[in-house]
Amino acid sequence: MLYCKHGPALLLFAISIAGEKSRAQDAVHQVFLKMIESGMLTRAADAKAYLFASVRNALLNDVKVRQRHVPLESVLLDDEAAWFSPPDRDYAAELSLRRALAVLPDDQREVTVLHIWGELTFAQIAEVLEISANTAASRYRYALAKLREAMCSKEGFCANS
Amino acid sequence: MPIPEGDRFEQYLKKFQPLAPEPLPSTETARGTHRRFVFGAWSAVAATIVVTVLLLRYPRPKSGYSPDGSESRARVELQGAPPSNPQPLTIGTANALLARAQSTKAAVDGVAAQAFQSHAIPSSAGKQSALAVLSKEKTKL
Repeated sequence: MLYCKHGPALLLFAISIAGEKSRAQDAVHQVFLKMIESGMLTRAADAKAYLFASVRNALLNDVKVRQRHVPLESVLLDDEAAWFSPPDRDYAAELSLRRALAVLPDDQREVTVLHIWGELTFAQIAEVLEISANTAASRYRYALAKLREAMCSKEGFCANS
Repeated sequence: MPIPEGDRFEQYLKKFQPLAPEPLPSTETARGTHRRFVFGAWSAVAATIVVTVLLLRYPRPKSGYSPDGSESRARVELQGAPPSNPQPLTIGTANALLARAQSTKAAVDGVAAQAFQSHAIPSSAGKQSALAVLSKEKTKL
């Protein structure tokens, strides 16, 4: 149930950290299987935030992710796999969004994914990333502005809106 | 599709649905498979031990061709006829052989083997050989 509900956002969050879909997938599976075996999720006060924090910790504990020398941006851009199911099958917009997210700084990308697709409040994001809620909100505003700029410059639609 | 401004841009981004991850591997299936493997392995070990013990305790009799006909006797012994204590072929023993035999061919072989053995054995008092009785009878065709 939780897996169906939060799985897609958790996977997206994991991709935004790891850069590779397969590694992200493994991390999400690892977290859920551990949760099922230990029953730790039932004891967590905020199950949703706990899941995102667990996925993040699992990836940061991954030696290969920590020892990555290539910038995440290039890893993300090299991966051809789609992250989203776009509205109206607008695959060009999906690619544009993926690229715009890839060029964001890591901390801003994490906040953006957690707030928009994870539907976490800034207080919950603060708990997951161990930062203040104000910092989370600030990073989000910067990220949103950059995303919009990147997507508008690529698509050239902003003048119409 | 035109990209909207402000809060509408946020709403626009939310329309992009993240793709679902692959289904979670079932822990129960994995455990069940492991349990079945362990059970199978232990069963195989137990079966090997039982077979080894049986083979050591009851070694198979060596069968081989011999000119005096002991091979056929050994075959008859395996099929149920006791050659160590040969008895003359009577209707009772023939019936018993037929009842115990696994197939018609085995039964006929068993009866024939016992009939040839019974030539050398004198029939006991009050008993008659079925072969002798049958040979005395005159059948009209």
